[in-house]
Amino acid sequence: MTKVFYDHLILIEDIIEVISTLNISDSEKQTAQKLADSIIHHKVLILLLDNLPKDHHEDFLKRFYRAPYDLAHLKYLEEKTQRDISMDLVILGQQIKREIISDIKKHIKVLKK
Amino acid sequence: MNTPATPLLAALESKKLLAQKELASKHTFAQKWLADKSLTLDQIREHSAKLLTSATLGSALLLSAPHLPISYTNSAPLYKLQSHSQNFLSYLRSYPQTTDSKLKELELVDNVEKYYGVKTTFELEGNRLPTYFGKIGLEQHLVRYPGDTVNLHGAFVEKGMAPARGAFGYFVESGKSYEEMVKQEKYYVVLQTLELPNWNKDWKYLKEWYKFRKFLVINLENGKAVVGCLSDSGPAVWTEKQFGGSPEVMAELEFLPRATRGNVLFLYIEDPENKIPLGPVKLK
Repeated sequence: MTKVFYDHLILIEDIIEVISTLNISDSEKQTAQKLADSIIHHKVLILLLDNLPKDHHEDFLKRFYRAPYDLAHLKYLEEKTQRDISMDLVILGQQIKREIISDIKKHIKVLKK
Repeated sequence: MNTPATPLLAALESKKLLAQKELASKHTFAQKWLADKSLTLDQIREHSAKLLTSATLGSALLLSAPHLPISYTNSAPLYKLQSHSQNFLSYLRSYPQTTDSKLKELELVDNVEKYYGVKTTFELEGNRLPTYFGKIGLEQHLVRYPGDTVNLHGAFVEKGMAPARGAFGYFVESGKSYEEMVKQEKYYVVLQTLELPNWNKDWKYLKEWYKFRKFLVINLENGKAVVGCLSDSGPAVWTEKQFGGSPEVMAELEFLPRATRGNVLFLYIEDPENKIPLGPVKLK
């Protein structure tokens, strides 16, 4: 899976691992993983833009579009937001994973081998 | 065709749509900017892959890594769950009660879930309490319906009944069963809704939102816990208590009969399907 600059903070692998244990078809696993991935990208962008002053939105979007993998975005975001944005992302990752894994566990009785 | 995975995929799809809507409503400019580039966030990895396949960018990625803080780069957990219920209680008592660290909050609610099997949270649908740790005091019975008398409550009749109905009105409501109504009054709790920072502005919405909402209350001394239902507002600030509990709640927390107040942790419960029953919860 190609990396995006916040992957190491969010650790989506934790969700993928849970999904991989489910007794569902490979294409369903793939769909679930894609949906989880999409939820994360949306939530992350909301968090970043919530904290980034509006003046820098376009500049950041350009940078992100040019190089979604570039870890330098973290430094840029920290400077512009004056926040420990890495820690914010770690916390967000924990929250999202908790929610998604809880959703998965609601169905685990039906799905697990 | 429906398969066993259908409900899970539907739940995830709905979460995704909510996130998309949130982005579109809060950050219209960004949504439009991405649309102009014909890029959706679903495609961000593919987009990234395309860029990375160009040889020059491959080395740029390697060069851009060094400033990453080492503590964030490993996959070790950021906090540990307590290994034993006694450790959990010591941890609860020493928890920094005024922290505003979301990570500490997550750590606490994960520990609570491990030891009580109840999913709790410090923030629910954007709402937060003025305090989560505080003193709970004994409340009297509440009037459940017009004509209700204390003798009909069965237990703790000597504690009496409040002279007026609770801030959220009578417990009796259309669609609610008799048993549910009795249980709601039996395990009712109270918090200072008037101290919520946005109460004066949003009280109409908040009153409906908080009405009969479930909370987990934990006695910090012994770990006894109760799922309670918010049914009144109070106690008054001058009492130096932040929460209140029905006689049954106070007895389940084992404050009664020896005390009428004590220190508790008070947390929102995440129970969208209304499956968590009111009443005592055992510490595992």
